[in-house]
Amino acid sequence: MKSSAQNRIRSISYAKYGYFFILPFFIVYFIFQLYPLFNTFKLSLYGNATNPEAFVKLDNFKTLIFGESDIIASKAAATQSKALFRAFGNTLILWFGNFIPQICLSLLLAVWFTDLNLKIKGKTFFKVVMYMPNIVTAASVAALFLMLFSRSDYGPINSFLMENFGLEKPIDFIRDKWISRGVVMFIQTWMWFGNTMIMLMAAIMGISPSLFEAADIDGANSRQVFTKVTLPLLRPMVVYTMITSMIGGLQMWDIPYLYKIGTSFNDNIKTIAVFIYNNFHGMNPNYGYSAAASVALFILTSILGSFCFAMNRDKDAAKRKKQIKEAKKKMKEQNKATFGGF
Amino acid sequence: MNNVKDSYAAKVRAKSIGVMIVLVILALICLLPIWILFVNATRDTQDIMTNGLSFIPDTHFFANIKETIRLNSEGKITYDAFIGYRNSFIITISATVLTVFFSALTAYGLVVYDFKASGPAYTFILMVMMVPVQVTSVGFVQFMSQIKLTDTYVPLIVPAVAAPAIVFYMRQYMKSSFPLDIVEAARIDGTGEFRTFLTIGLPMMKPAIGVQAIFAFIANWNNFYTPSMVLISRDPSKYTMPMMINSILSNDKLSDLGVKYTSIMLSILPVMVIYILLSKTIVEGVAEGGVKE
Amino acid sequence: MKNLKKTLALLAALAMSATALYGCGDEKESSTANNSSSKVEESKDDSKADDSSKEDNDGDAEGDQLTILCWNANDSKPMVDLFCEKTGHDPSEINIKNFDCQGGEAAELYEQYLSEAANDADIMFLEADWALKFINDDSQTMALSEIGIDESSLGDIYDYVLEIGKSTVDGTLKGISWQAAAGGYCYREDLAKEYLGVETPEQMQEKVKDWDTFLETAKEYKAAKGDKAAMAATLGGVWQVYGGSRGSAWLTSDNKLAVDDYCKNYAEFAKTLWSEGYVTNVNQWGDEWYALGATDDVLGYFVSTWGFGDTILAKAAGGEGGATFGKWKCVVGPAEFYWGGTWLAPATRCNSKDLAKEFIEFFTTNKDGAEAYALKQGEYMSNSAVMEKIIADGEYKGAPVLGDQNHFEVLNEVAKGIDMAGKITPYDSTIKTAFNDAVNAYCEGTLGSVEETMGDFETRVMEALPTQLNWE
Repeated sequence: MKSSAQNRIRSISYAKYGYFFILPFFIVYFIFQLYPLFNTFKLSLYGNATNPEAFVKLDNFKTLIFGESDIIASKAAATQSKALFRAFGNTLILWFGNFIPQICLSLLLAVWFTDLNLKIKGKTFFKVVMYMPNIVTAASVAALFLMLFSRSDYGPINSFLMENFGLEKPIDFIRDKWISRGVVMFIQTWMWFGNTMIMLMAAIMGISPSLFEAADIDGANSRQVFTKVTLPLLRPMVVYTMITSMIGGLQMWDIPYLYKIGTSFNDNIKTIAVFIYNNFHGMNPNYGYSAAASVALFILTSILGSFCFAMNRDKDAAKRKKQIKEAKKKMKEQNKATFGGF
Repeated sequence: MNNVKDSYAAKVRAKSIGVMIVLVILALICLLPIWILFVNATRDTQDIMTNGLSFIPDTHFFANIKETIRLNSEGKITYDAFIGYRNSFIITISATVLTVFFSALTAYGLVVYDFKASGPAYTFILMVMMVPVQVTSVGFVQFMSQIKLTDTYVPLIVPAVAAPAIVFYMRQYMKSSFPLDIVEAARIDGTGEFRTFLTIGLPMMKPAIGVQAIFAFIANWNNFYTPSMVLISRDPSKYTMPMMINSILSNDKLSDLGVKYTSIMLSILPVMVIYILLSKTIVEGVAEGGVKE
Repeated sequence: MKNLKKTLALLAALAMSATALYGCGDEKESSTANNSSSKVEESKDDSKADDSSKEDNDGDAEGDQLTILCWNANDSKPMVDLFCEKTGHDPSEINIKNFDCQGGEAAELYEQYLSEAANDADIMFLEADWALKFINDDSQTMALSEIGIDESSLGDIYDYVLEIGKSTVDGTLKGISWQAAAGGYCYREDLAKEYLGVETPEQMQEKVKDWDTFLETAKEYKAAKGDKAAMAATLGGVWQVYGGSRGSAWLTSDNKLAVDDYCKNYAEFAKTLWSEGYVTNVNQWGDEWYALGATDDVLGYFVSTWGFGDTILAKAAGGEGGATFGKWKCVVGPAEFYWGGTWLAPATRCNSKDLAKEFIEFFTTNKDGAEAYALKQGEYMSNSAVMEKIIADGEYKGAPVLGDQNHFEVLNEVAKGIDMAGKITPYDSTIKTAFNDAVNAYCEGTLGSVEETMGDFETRVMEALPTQLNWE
């Protein structure tokens, strides 16, 4: 153990390398991303379709969050606000609905694949196949599932169910509230569980095998190994997966955007990102609302993100605190002992 | 004693069989839609339209490819697989290499060196990771247009240097499995800092790099949104593969389904082949790289 | 482990060379003479590389070139080909800027492209749905008269075609279409004979002359045929016709949404069609939409001028020699309607006005040009005199999918009956989408009553156009 003084001396002489190493990231970020970021914040304070140059202060936020506005009719403002909160609700539902099965499945698979006791034939084949859905472009995935899940009598899945299982009326996989959500959750899980699985596998393989061996020798069963060895050591990766998945989930855009008939969106799967996108692009853009919604989303993500970090860091910090406390206690005892020795 | 061993072995065998069944089912679910895509690429339009689903490949694959080429040469669609592969590979490989290299560099800088700005810098990276991409991209394109970089690949490649989520991952990875003492040891040996990063840092982060390289490759390969925004002038010789796919999927008046499925198939084919060829290397590499004390 | 190292090294090397390659490519592309440099690619793939290098040249030598903005090449390509062939202009004088996207996305890409002052644009292809976005904006499009096309020379053009090309701000004529996207009801001759006893298109027209009769016939047809007896393929198709015959605009004069009996009637009508199976539950433009034509499940399709070929009907019939190819006939149907169509408008920054004028006139007022294009593409043109001449000549035999019938005769009837004066607003496509979404929800039973449906419709529009319309 080095003393903190030693640490400080060491770090002073090398600190400048730290700056050198992170410099490229920041230069590129500032050149390419800072202006757009700034632009979004600026736009959120400006007007919409009919008057994009007008400086409206916080009216966009007022409209979206409280459903009141000094500029547009109150019922129109209320509708906007309702639309945003509905989109927010959808986002949470869709995220939970794909994150939970996804993380469970990935974790289970990652453990199975790394469990040397299990005799699994063709491991590589399974890994490759399970990652495969992630390779296909979202646009193609959406097109494929729209075809399979077509809601008419003639749709492949519907006609199959009707012929073989006596289904009387075709199921509306695209517009029905919960079924369409289910399909989107399924597609998202289908696309992403292989990705998460690989990430977790890499993390599990980073755990020293001697730990597993030790657990084995101690006669731990596989559940004990999982809960006592794998999971605790996997925590940084699970935290990473959770945070990135949360960010990705809150910004979920492509499948909810593409899973629609022609130009009609299904309100039950419209996410915040779709709300933002539609207000920014489309035929009748409302830049102000779009930008205000993204600023709100940014703030929300930051809060949730900080919460995740705080939870994670608190444990570390608590541990450290405990260590320090224990060290102090020891010292005290030692002191006592020394004094006692007198 | 023998009995205990036997029952243990039996248990493991039973579990293995159970696991295998689950794996087979999952594999089927994963493969089925892709298989349907593949089968449809080998069928002709009339067959797809009138007979719906089929699980048996037909013989029209090359006829479909020929038709795709014909439609393209007549200007009815913009789909040229070779140009798409070329452009997508240029962008994807450059961006992937930049992403993993600089993310590793940044993470290494944050973890190994204890400097005043490291805390704020890390917080900053976490913050910008949470910026929604959908809207900033518009400002991004406006800005690119101002500095005359639209219609070039620069905005598609260079920004890859700053990938907050990947830096975050690399940092997490290093925190959990990177022994700082090894850097100290290198210093005592008199190795330069950057050299230490290249010869010790990078190899030790191999599993993380491998994983992120795959993900970055796929993400870049499939990126439709940014190229379609940045390549404003729509010069077909600069099209990426997803842009070509979009050109096919968004063309209302293209009713040739065989062509549609074939073009989707062709767009994922190279990635799939590469992935299958490299999967052993990558997956096993990821595994081996991790086995370290 | 070793392998991974090698792989990564390989990838890095590849990337390096690729970047290097790319660097060169960029330089070459920015230099004017790039024909020689793209030889390598040309050897790989002649046609495409040829095209692209040509376009690169065009981009640099703009100015006296005619740049046409469009979102696919389905129309622009054959138009330019014919124009050059007949007028002797060199194809290099014209640059087709194809944005390669769905019609609805084109508006945004145009704007983005035009936001750069240096980008050339002479003629813009506009879709009726969002044409007003540009036509109402003087900084984007200019009056046809400014490039020398006088309104007085447009006497033969159908009125409604001109109506859609007029600015709703000051009434200036800024856009014109070469097509009169009029449409009719195409039905299966054999099925109609078997179940309805209909022998000729005239008799059929009697059976579908208005919506009430249409419904009666649907009932009769279903009673005779039993299962799977849809009068029309999709509700979307019915809507194109019904929606086109609305007597007034979707907005009132003080910019409020106009919800009236017409909307309610349609909701009821649609619900009846849907629940009785008079239309199938298939979506327009999906695979199954095409597939229906080869089955006996559907009596008819509503088809617009561009749909008689491979776009819809010929494809649905199974193509040349297909199951029902040649068994179709076309009649006017319950109401005159137009569906789709593309308008041509001169861009404000147009710097080759003479060529732009010649091009636009070639497909509209130039009788030889319009006739040649009609015959080449089987397209019903906006020039009524030309169409009447073709019909009178009797040489054109019509779309092959209709057997011996000439659909131009039917479309001629339809085009005369279309009236769009004062019915166009800049938000039509958004409003119509919202309306259809609400009606669909009513058909499927998510919404319980017509009143609820109208409320839902209003909410949807309010959500999409909060600041654009007057909601006081």
